[in-house]
Amino acid sequence: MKRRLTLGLTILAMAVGCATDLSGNEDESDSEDGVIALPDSWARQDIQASPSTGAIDKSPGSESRTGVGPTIYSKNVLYTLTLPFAAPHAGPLTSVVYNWGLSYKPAGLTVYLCRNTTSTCVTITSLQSGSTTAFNPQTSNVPFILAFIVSDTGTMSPAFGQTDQVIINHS
Amino acid sequence: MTVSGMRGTGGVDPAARKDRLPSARPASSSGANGIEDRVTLSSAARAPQIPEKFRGMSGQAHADPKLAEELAYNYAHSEQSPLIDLSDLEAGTGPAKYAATGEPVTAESELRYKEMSASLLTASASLYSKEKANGTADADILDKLLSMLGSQSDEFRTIIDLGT
Repeated sequence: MKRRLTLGLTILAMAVGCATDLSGNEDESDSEDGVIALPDSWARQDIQASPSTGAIDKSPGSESRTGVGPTIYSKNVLYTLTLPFAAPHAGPLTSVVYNWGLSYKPAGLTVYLCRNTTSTCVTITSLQSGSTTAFNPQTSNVPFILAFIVSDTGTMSPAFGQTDQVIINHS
Repeated sequence: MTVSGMRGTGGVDPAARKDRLPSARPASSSGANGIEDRVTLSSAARAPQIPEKFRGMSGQAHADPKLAEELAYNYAHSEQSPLIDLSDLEAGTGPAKYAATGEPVTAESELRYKEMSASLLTASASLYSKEKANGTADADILDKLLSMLGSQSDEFRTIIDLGT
């Protein structure tokens, strides 16, 4: 019953487009008690983290952007979390530190970190916390996007999004 | 009056200078009269060749020791990754592609570039440790690391958006 309620709330959150933190309601062990396959049309494909509600810390030379990542319900669908910029930093990037999480890592998962659009991304699947210089010395005052996809066949248990963070260091 | 072919004026682009050397000619060889010719490179020509994209950043690092320290550490310890275009994947019209070439990302290509990245990362970390131990300034270490990046194969340079 609790599981059904959680799922219902999840669908409701998707319907209204809320970035609701659902982490903690599901873990890897829960996924063993049954596979729930939702139609692709229900999958929340993009979450926009609002600068007004997100935790944005600013200090000289760096900016932290956080948001709750998408919950992955379906395979072969790209789910994204957009972390918009809140302050007009003009300095060129010196590194981008990232931290992403899911309630469990499905087989076939690939995670990307993108700068500005999904046409400029790097793969960050192997490290849930790390840093990259791939976007240096581009400007920092653009959105950053975390993108998730599970490339596989069959159905899957939902992998619930957790708090994701990028710290943008610039000169 | 036009003077061309002036020698000893300085400011010669090392790359252009290298291109003008006869390719089959060794750096040291005997001329027809038996006198040995020697090619001596200026300090500018021996300086690290930093990719164009990073020259501004290098200049900033030389003026800001803290920035130089941060950048040198970052470049020595971060893997250089291919840039990937997900726009077709997002639209559901095609696979992920390499941003620079438009070639689809495959398991084989991923593995090949991963090996190149890992090899470069090992060499970069080793260079960083060695230069730090020698007391080299962080800005100069950064230049060496960026030069190492610039000396990678054309294929790898292209795929990580350094140009060729």
